[in-house]
Amino acid sequence: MDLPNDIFVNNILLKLPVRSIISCKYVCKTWYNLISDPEFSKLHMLQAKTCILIRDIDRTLYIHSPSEKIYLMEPKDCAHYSFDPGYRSRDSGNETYNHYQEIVVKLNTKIKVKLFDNKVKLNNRGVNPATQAQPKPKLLGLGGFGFGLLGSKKVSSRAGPGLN
Amino acid sequence: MSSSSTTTTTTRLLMLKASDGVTFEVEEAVATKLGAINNMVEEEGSEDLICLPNVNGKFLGMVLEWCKKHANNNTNSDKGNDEVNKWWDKEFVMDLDQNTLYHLLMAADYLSGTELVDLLTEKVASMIRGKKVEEIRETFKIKSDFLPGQEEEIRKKNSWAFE
Repeated sequence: MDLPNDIFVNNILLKLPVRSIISCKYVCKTWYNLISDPEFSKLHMLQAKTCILIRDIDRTLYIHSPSEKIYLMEPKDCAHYSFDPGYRSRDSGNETYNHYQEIVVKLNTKIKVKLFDNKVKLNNRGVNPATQAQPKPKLLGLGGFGFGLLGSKKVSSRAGPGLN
Repeated sequence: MSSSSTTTTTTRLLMLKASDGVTFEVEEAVATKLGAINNMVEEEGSEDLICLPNVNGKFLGMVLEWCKKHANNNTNSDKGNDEVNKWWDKEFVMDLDQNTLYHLLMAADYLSGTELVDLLTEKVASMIRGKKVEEIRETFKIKSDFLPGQEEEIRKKNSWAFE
């Protein structure tokens, strides 16, 4: 693709769902470098729609600590999707993760989450009927979010226990 | 259009000249949908001829066609116009081949036709959405330039996306 980077990044890549962005990353070196750029992550987080991120508990360890495995629920069509957690916090620590963690906490009151052997089952009955018409969120298994940039160590360990 | 009264409805015509010398005579109201032309008109006043050395006649023509359609649809302010515009936009981008799409996008960007840029980039995004890496390469005729083994290695990091 011979489009200027700013058009490709701002007008195209940033409009895509995370899954598609990750696919793009492995198309060629040029795209790989663009998407691996920390600046891209920042831009993405600034405009990303709020999605639901679920962290499992790592049951393989003696102490049940939050797993490194994260599930991102992202609708196929972000353009018509909105999930308003009611509030957002981006001011402390790693802002990219805070963005999602707030939602995980809030999630409990809206959607019931059941965990079976690292698979997440969602029960949407708690959702407001008004939002039912929106595209159903798609469940993705996700190991370390942030386009391959963020180490899992940066994630606060508070997210996991809140899910039970 | 007759303008017997002294209202401001007189349609002024602008002359636009593309890089290959092709000229277009366009109503000011249509051409000023393009931010770049609007600026030129505002800054330099009523130029007879606006030269656009970065846009080829073929693509300038297409951009102006789009502007004209949208300007016309917007004159009668029905609420059905949005639908008409949307339908027309869909038709407009439907059969664009990749080469035309890119050139048109570059032209629209150069002319600061924000709405048109949005329309065209959405078309490109739709060619990527939901596709696998191989399919994206095929669509955009891109050859992988990763070293042998390198691709597999880096893909492992995001293996969830390729199930």
